[in-house]
Amino acid sequence: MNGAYLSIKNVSKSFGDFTALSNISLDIREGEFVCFLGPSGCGKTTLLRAVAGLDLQTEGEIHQAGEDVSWLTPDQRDFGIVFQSYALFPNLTVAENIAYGLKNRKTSRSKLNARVEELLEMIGLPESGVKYPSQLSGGQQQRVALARAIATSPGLLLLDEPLSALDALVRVHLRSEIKELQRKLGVTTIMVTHDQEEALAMADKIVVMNHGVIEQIGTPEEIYSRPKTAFVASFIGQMNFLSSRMLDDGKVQVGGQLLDCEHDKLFQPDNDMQLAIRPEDIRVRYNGDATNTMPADVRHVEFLGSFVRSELDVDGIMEPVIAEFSMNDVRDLQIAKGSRLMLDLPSSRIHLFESAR
Amino acid sequence: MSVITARPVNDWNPLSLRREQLLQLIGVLFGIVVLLLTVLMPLYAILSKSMENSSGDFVGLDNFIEYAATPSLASSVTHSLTIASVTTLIVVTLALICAYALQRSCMPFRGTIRLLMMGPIFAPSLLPAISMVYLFGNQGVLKSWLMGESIYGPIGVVISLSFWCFPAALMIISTALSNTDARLYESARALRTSALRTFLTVTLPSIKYGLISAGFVVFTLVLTDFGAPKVIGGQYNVLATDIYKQVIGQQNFQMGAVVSVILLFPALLAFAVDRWVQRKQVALLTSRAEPLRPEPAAIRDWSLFAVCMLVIAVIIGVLGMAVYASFISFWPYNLEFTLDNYQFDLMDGGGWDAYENSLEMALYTALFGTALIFSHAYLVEKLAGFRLLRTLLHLMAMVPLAVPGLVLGLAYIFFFNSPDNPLNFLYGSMAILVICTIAHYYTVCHLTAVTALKQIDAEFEAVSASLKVPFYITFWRVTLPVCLPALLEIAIYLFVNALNTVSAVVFLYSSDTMLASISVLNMDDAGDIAPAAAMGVLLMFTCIGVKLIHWLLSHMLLNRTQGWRQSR
Repeated sequence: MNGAYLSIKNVSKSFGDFTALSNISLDIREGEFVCFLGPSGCGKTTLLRAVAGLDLQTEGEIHQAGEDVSWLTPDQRDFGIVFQSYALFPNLTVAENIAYGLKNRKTSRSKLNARVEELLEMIGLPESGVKYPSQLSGGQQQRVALARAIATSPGLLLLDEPLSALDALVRVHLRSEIKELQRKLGVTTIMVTHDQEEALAMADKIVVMNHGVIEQIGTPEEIYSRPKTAFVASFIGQMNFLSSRMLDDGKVQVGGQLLDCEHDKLFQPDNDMQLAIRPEDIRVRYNGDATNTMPADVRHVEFLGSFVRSELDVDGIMEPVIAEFSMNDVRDLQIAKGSRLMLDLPSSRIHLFESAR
Repeated sequence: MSVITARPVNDWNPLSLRREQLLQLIGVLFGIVVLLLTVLMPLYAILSKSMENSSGDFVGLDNFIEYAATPSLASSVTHSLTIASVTTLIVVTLALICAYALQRSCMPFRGTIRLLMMGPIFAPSLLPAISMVYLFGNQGVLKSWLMGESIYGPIGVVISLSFWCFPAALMIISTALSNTDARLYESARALRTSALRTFLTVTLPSIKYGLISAGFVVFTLVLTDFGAPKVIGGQYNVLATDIYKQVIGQQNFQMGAVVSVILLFPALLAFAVDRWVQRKQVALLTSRAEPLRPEPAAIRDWSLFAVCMLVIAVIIGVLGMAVYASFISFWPYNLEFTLDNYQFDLMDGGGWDAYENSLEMALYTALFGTALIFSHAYLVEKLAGFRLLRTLLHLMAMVPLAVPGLVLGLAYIFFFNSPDNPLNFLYGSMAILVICTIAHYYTVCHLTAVTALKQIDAEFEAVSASLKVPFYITFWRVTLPVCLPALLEIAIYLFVNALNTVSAVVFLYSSDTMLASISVLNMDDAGDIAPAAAMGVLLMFTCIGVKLIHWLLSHMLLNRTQGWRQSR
């Protein structure tokens, strides 16, 4: 045993010829908040439903709290679940919804009422117990769904795109609330989302998925600053991709420029590659610590409030390069359309990937 | 925190079903067995009967060859197809105009007009046919309008059935016209498209499938209706009356089976087309569609209003004639008002007992039918396991739509009257009438239930499972209350149809279980046409009364549940 609360071992799932999940293995510690992140159709929801027992995997095992739950039905497992659609029972009041799972456990009426009151308090809707779901806003309904899911104190909380149906502002607000609630309860939580910002803000650990496989598992920082694959690099945050070539001396050639790169991967010399760098990692101010400097023309500037995004023509490089500069940089260096800049592409911030075939 | 109970890891065995799953499995299997016994096995019985001679030996297609070689029989095929095509053309055209007026114009009184146009749905198809006799028959008030033609024949059948099928077509086309996106019309206008081109490129494509569907529904209704051609068809043979004549008149069960099998083919075709259309229709709608609000246009609105008034005048005229005639002493010689025609106990045809039997039968059908069909639909739609069995149940539930009532009724004779059948005791009872009627109208109710179930959140069952609440509690506490309007609708549909149906039960009633709709037929046959009209009118008003109660009930229900029902 490895001390994980939830262990997913070699789980695969196929629908006819289509492979939805291929050989997924993953360990989740008790109390951890894990996000399954990926584009639609990547298999994240399928994996969540396999964990819940709602759609069984074709192969592989799932262990929860040291017990093999691989082939158990949902009601034999221990989890609470919240769906994107809220799935609140429309004909029951908010309090009846929250008490739905408690009632069945033969809890005494006074205890049950106290628990419902406590949960209503917890989600910030103490007065709303007598209302019906349709009388609440989307954000409030999702809070009720959350209270219903945690009412029975499950060992595992599953959130299936819980914020996707909500307005942008409500979403930002609710995500911090959910995160705080999760921390307070210490309940192991899996959330499925396609929103990278949500995942970065909420998760202890992000599982990036694509085409039914796990691309990378790591903390938000790791995923963002050390993407393992070109897919992760492109899916999370902004990234410039430039076709490049590894030279014998370890330098990387991009168009007419030669760059130094720090990397831990092994690349055969003389191989086509992709060089990647985030727009905010391109510098225009440096104090002699520059590693890869090159001149560029500003082709286009887009004002975005606290920073500008500019499209650059780098000498010797065919592809346009996107860079983000703070407003301070813009003012001090007078960056505008047509101005000429000296850029630095710090060698520590450059990522190298196999060339996409 | 964790409330999980310790369980040895290896004791779980995929073969040992748990109680809940066992219950679900029993439910699905029960549904399959019910449909097997009430639809598929009777159909098999009629198929095998059509390939037997009178002593029960297998003769292959000999009966069919004999049928084709008998000109008086084979001509029915042409007759049936002719009548069905002509009626379909008339009904769909009229229904399209009226539905367009209701959905896309600003003419006044649209609600009332729609209500009146639904009138014919409450009467058995016999009633407009009887009305035709009074209006255009030998003593008819408007006989001269026919310019020497006789109403007894194709003309009478087409008019009666056009009248009777109109509401069904109107409903389908109205629905198709209401499913539209206003933005398409705004785009067309922004691009300066002419009205005609907008109609041809926007309106028509969006209702194409609705029109096809309406066409096939009417075609099937006409082809399989038996009441109208029986009353007004005269010497004009159609397939439906042939079955009746072969079985009741000549006791030639084999030939009855042959005609039934022939009647199955066009119905099967219509069924296949309808399924295809349903599948296409779904893909056409987007969830973000903006409802279309028509703007007033005087010429269009008032000319459509005129057409609608004409249609309503005909509806009121035909129904009114039947009502009027039912209160007249002796048409056309003694026009004194009388209630004698309602003294059913003095006539041949079952008397008031028949009416009571009908009410009883309709009540049982509505009660048991709704419970049975809805719970099966729930199992099909909301279970997680037994995918194959559930699909099988769903497919079996679709079969009755393709089976004309007369064919089903005859099939029941062959199946249930067989001395080898342990269910033989049902024959001649009230139960077999109820069973047959439920089976006959199964599909439409099944689809209504499935639609209602599809509209509620797909994750209710998953949530309940995660909360360890058994599925049947969620069914009782949530699914059933949420689907109550659909349940009422199914019950009313079954009740009205059970009251008016002739085709399926005409072979199955006994002297103790005489039904009102059949007594209309028998009294008309015996020449007691005024009492026949009276009984038909009584049935119609019963249906309208029940519909009224339904309307009141659903209103009360909506008021009581307004707190949680957002729509309406």
